[in-house]
Amino acid sequence: MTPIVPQIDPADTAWALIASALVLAMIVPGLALFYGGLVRSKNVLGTIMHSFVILCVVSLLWILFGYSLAFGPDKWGLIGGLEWAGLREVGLSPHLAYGPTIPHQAFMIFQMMFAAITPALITGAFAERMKFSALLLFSVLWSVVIYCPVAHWLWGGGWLGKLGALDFAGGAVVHISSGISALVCAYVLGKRQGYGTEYMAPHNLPMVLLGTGLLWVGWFGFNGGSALGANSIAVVAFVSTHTAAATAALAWMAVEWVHRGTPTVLGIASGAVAGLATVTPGAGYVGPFSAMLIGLAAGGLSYLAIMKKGKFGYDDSLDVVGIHGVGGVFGVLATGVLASTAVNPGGADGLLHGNAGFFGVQILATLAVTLFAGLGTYLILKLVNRLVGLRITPEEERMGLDLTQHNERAYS
Amino acid sequence: MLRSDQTLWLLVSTVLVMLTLPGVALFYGGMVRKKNVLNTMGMPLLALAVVSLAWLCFGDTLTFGRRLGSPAPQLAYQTMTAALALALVTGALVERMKVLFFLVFGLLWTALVYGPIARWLWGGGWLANLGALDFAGGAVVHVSAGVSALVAAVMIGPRKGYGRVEMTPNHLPLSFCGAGLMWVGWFGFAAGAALAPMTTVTGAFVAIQMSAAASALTWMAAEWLQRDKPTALGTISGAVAGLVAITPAAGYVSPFSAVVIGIGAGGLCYMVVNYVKLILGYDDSLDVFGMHGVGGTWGMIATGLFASTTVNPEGSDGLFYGYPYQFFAQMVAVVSVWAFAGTVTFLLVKGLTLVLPPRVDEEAEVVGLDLTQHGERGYS
Repeated sequence: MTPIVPQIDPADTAWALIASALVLAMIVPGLALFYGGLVRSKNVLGTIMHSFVILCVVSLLWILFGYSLAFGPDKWGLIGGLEWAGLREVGLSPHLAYGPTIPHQAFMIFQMMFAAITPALITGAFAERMKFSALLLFSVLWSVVIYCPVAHWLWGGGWLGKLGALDFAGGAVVHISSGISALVCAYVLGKRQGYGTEYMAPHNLPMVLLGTGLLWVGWFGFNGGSALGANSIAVVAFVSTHTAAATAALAWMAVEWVHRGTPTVLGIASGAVAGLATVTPGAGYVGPFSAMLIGLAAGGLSYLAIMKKGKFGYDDSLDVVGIHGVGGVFGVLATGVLASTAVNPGGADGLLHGNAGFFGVQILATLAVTLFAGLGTYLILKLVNRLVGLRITPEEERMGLDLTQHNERAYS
Repeated sequence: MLRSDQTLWLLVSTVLVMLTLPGVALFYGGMVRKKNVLNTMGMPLLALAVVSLAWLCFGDTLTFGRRLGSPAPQLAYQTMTAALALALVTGALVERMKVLFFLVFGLLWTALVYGPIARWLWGGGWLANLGALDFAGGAVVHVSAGVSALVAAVMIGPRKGYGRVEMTPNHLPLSFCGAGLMWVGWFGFAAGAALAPMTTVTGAFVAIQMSAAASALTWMAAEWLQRDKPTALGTISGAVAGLVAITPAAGYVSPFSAVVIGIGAGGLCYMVVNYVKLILGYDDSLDVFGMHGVGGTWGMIATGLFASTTVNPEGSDGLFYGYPYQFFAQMVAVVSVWAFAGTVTFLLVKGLTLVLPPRVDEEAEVVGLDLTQHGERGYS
């Protein structure tokens, strides 16, 4: 094999940058509108602010030292060193491991968007009750303590990557880590006032659908861009992403139709997002029919998880656990079963193609990320609670985040 | 002949810049009162339509001296940029301006203000020869729009009840959606028309992201410290200010210089919008001057400070990198664009007012422009 000589390819770079812009559209406005429409009208600005401010804070953290911790020179397989802090040595020439045909900074900014969306996903679990100052502190600590190491383990040359675990675009790094952390957040913060007794209807479902649409569009950048070039793997990811989303939307709708008698529009949208989240780790490693299977299961499983939520008694307000946690875990495992080197020679064969070892590694990755994110989030929340307090007062909760945290109203 | 990857980036950039127009429409639409939301959102779209035809018929020829009917590949991109400039101006005049007045004003403004300034900096005009840098429109788009907006707002006068009755935004999530689309679309300013190498595009892309993020946080922090609570409207305004300020500098500065530019933009625009405007008492309805005039001016000056040839060898070094002349050139550009845009807009509004009423009558202003000018309502 001839060694790869890093040289910038303009088309690959263009695709990496377009993909970064698409992932930005997932966070702002996409995710913010998705979550904003789901809460009550007294909390919509507070909810939008969560995603927006996390985007800004993580962008700064990322160039200061976050990128270096996640992707810098490996230390014991656990974390990156600080050699690249302040973007030292992260310039406009390519890095061999991180996209040999695009400027290193293009890879850096693409990854910045991932680092920003992950904590933003968690905010759905504690919507309508978290203090703004606590949110800021939590997202800074979470990004540094949880996200950077996990990203390093799988993508930055860490131990899981070395074992051969595959996570194409963030099933473990983004969805398991945010989903599990969301579960811990929901438990530690406790329920919203009136949860289970009052009906807390989403205040603006068309806004949720607009957000869903933007998430779906942006996800092509999320998964397709992870090929780090305008190449056939990007096409594979594109097709499987779309297939899984469409399948999961229909699957959720069908299950709901049978179970409840009417299919809801919110259900179809949730199904699409579940499909997108679930296919993420496998997107570049599976063919379209495997993606269809993944989507089918994603729609059903996430629906089931959200149905059963009541039994466990946690208030995951906007169902981050049911969609991203369940979807992420199932997606990483499904990659271990369905991945095929016929689709992507740079990937691996899964259980179905006779490679049980790889499936084992995927199980290990799932467990490791679950444990680490869960424990770490618990400790971070305890610390934040000690420092500034996590929840707003019951009185403030009645008035809403918008007035009490931001001194403004969304509508007049 | 362009290479296919150059055409690709040019077309993508055109679409992205186009996306900032619905972005501006939503951003502005959410901030006005309920009775004026449609009129406000219609203005940027009208600007897009008018400027697109104007640019095809004479703008491109005036600015770049190309023969009519032989458009360059950049034509569509330049059209979007010109349309954005006019769309921004509308924010200072909404809730009281007549549609017909705006149409005529817009057409003439594009020809007499925007076109010449674009020529000076981008069409091989005297400022370009002087060495002034404006990467993607800090002076051409933002200073010209911001200063013209201020002049026009002062001449047309404040809205009825301005300063006495509270004018609360009707739909802030809409404004947020608009700001988000502007942020996404702003990446079209990463060397959209320059056909620059992709390394320069990447550097500009990173700079845009960093400036917007830093500026949003600065505005938020200022509000938090001074007024006890950070608002969502303030934070998204901060992001827009950061986008504006980085526009002239994007391809020439390092990521950390972009952070500093963003911090400056957030702080300066916050002060002008919250204090200077109140002291001077002009009614720039949606703070076009405070964000674009101030942000653009700061961005142009900052380019003269932070530009660096280690980032972009085709650019220049700024004052902090040992080349004071660049700072001087930037100052000349800013002062001349301020003077030119201000004077010509003044004459234009003065002259037009003789033949066309600029404002709707008082009763129509009270009832709202949606019903009286368009015969429809935004919400039911």
